[in-house]
Amino acid sequence: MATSEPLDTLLAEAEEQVKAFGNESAEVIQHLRDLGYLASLPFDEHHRGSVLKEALSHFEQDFLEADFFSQADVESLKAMYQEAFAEEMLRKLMELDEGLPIKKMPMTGELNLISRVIHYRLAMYGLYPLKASSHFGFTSISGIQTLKHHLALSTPLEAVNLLADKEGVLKRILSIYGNERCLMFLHVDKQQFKTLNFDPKKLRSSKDFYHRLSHDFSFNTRYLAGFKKDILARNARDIKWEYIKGRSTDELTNFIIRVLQVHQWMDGFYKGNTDGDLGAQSLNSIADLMKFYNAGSKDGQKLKSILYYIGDGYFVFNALTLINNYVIEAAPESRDEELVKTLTIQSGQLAPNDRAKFESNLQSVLNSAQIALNEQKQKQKLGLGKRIYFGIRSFLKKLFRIGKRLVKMILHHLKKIFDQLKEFFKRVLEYGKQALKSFIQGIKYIIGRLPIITCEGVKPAITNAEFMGDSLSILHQELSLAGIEFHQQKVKETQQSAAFSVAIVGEVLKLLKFMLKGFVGWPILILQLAKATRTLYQKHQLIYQP
Amino acid sequence: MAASNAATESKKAIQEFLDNAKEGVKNLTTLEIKTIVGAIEFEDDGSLKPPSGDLEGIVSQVQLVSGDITTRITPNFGKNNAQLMEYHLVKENQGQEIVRKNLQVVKEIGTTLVSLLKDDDKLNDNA
Repeated sequence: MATSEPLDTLLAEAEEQVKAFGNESAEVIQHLRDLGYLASLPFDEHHRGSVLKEALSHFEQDFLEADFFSQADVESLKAMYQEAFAEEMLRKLMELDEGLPIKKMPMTGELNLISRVIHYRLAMYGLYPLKASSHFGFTSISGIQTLKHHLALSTPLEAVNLLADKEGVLKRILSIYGNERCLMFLHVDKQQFKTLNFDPKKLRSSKDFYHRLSHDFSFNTRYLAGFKKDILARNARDIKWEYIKGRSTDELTNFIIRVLQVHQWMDGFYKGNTDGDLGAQSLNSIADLMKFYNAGSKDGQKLKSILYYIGDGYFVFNALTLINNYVIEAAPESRDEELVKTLTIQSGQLAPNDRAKFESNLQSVLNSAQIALNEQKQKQKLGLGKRIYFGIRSFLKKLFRIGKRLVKMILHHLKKIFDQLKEFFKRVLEYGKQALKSFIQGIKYIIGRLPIITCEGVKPAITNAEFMGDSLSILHQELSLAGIEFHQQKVKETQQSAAFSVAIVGEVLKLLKFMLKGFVGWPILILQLAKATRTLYQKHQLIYQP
Repeated sequence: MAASNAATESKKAIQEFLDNAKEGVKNLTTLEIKTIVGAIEFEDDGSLKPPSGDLEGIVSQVQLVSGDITTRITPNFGKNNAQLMEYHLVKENQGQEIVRKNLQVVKEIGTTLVSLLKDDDKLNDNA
């Protein structure tokens, strides 16, 4: 096809955007370290590239042996992702909300990718203290037994696979233990009070806390009355301190707190270690989360209705609202698309001045996210970076909950939620790079500018494959048989992955109606690209059907 | 003003994409696969140097309606490298498969875009 000037402009802008992403992924480094393919030591600057490449290649070899996908699926995934195949599989494998199911448990003494993934999942939930690269053994089995016990599951496989579905874990907790276990007692050392981003003294309103509690436990008036008398008593002497102390340190409470920490960490609200200790950092993240949910909302829940300061460093936290929010967020896939549409339509409907402000605000968050991500990469290189979560799914689900208010929040309450949005956009940027590269490839293929070049030493082979099937190949006359076969394979792979890229362009074009209205903001477009890539990833078998 | 320009540009991009697609489909009676070999080299800037010796080549034209295939070949093509002929034949088969798949994609994208343009015109008429 002939070239098109506006498509050229779009292509040039997209290529500028992709440059901003940089080359190395903090995410890949973190994942390789988490699975024990890369030592948690600073990189030697001279060998950084080769060390990373070797670790990624080791992972890919183990992945192919681990039987997560059929041979045919692996071939189509390789064609789709090309050189990013190993990175994409790594990302997919490390998901804790839609992670790949494990089909068979490892044998005692084994060390392979499956044993590493099981160790990683257990460690995230505080059930495995050793390195992921340790051989599968007694400590692994002991962690799985504890997990089976907490979640009342019958098989080890069921247990380790449920860990890759964090909403599923919460649903299970709710179904086994009911609402009562969602009331958490916790202790914060008074020394840490100065690090709290709220004043505990303002959380002494038993009226507000009880009001919410009576709503959540309306079916159990006896329990309510007991709680009011023993925990919310005005006189400290009437409070059942022994019960509170016991509950604040029991094993199951620690596990449930850990599950909540994993959720909050994945949302970008929790920045501490996921250690099962619900201290000052955890309470701060709960306060931040409530602030985020409540921004721009007239009927949001106040912190004092779910968190009550009993005294002597002890708090009681009604986690039911939070848990129900998380469970609700385990929403059908179609919501992702609805969110992007909602954002686009609503921002498109703003008055010109407001829209300019909205775009500028969104861009400022995006820029901050990029700076934060670059800093993160530097720290990762030095082995100092804290573990961050990169999943796109959690991000989209969280955004959907506030989707209808998000445009107004960005427009009028940006300061309040800036840090949280920045965390969210860090995830979009990490995922968006691959999406944007595919988008660029799709546009190039459509406008006939996708040359495939391979070289055997100084002997090149070039093919220009066009969207409508025509092709021109120019090959060096002394190219060996292996050189020709390699080029042929590369052309085939590129054309297959171009089909995926064109499908991404098609998905993005669905938004052109709004682009026609003059709204072509890159943050929205990148969000759409990230969503389209994930949707198409799920449909990959359909795309590659012969 | 900037928003209005962006809208015009977006609309122009869609219209050009559709025009190109129509033109591509209209000309899609013949599929042309070319394979050329020679002493090719790159310039420092990544572009191809003019070939220093003779070029050999093969061109296949596949009539998509009748199924006829015409192949033209220079005398020494593949003389010292039988794999080149194999390469060309594979490309020929792939070309036909790509046309089939991509026509479906063009149809889907085109349908979406046409409806978008129609919606937009309606909105403008009602404005």
